[in-house]
Amino acid sequence: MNQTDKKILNEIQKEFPVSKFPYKTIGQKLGLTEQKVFNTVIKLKKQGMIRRIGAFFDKKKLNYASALIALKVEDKNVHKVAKIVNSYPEITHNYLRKDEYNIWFTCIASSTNDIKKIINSIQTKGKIKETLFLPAKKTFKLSAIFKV
Amino acid sequence: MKLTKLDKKIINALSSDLPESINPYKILAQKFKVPEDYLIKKILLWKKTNLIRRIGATIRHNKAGFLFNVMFVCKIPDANVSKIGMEIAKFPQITHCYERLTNKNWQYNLYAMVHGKTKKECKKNVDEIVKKLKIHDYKLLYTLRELKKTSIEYF
Repeated sequence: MNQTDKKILNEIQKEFPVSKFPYKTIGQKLGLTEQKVFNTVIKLKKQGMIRRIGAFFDKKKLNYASALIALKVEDKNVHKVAKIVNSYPEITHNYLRKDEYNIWFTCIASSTNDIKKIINSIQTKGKIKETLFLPAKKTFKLSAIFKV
Repeated sequence: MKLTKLDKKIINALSSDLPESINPYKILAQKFKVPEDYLIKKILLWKKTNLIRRIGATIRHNKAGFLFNVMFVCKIPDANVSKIGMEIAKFPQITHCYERLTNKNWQYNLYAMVHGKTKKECKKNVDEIVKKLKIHDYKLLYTLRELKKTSIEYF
């Protein structure tokens, strides 16, 4: 990435303007032409550097419940259980971590009850014995922004 | 908050990827058969009322060189958890920080995602936090593999 790429990437992570000509707005801020900003963004998307440009909603305000869940899974079953976990559209992020609780995922559903139903079904299908249900009590930071 | 059918469609569209156009909102407005001004006003209102926390780009952080991340979990007495949580949030290498319910087998109540370009840098970032905030009871859960990462479709 060159300096212009980085400048644009840092800016649009913070804020993508809501206006008729968003790329023009960004360009004015950074001293670049609208076309230059647009072409760079398309290039960075093609390269896979940008995953998406979009809005992040407050899940609670949309009446959704969410939780972090951890499972203790034997190494030989990780692949199988990961497949089960990943099959639920309500599960958006899933990671293998280095701990006795090794599968960690986030679940977003209409209610806590719905989340618990999903956990129960995963436990049954995957023959899971130990599960941690860890909903957030308070958010101190949520900002997946990386200075490049 | 009362949402119309159209609102829900707009929310879904905004939760995925904006159209790759020099006028992305115009394209969306055409798709939903509403004037562009109407759509822009609505999105700005949602931002103002914090229904939308942020509109911006999400990067693939590993592609940008942030190859390592670790979930930092610690046990903080209830009386201090807000103070420590707010302090941890100030570190730029942290993207997420939450207080969570505990479990009888798991007494960690404060969580943070710590990032770094190398494993060493990641560890250094953690060391800085625990030293500055005098956190003694903590654990690091390194990410071995990303098994799934998608954005949610709400409606």
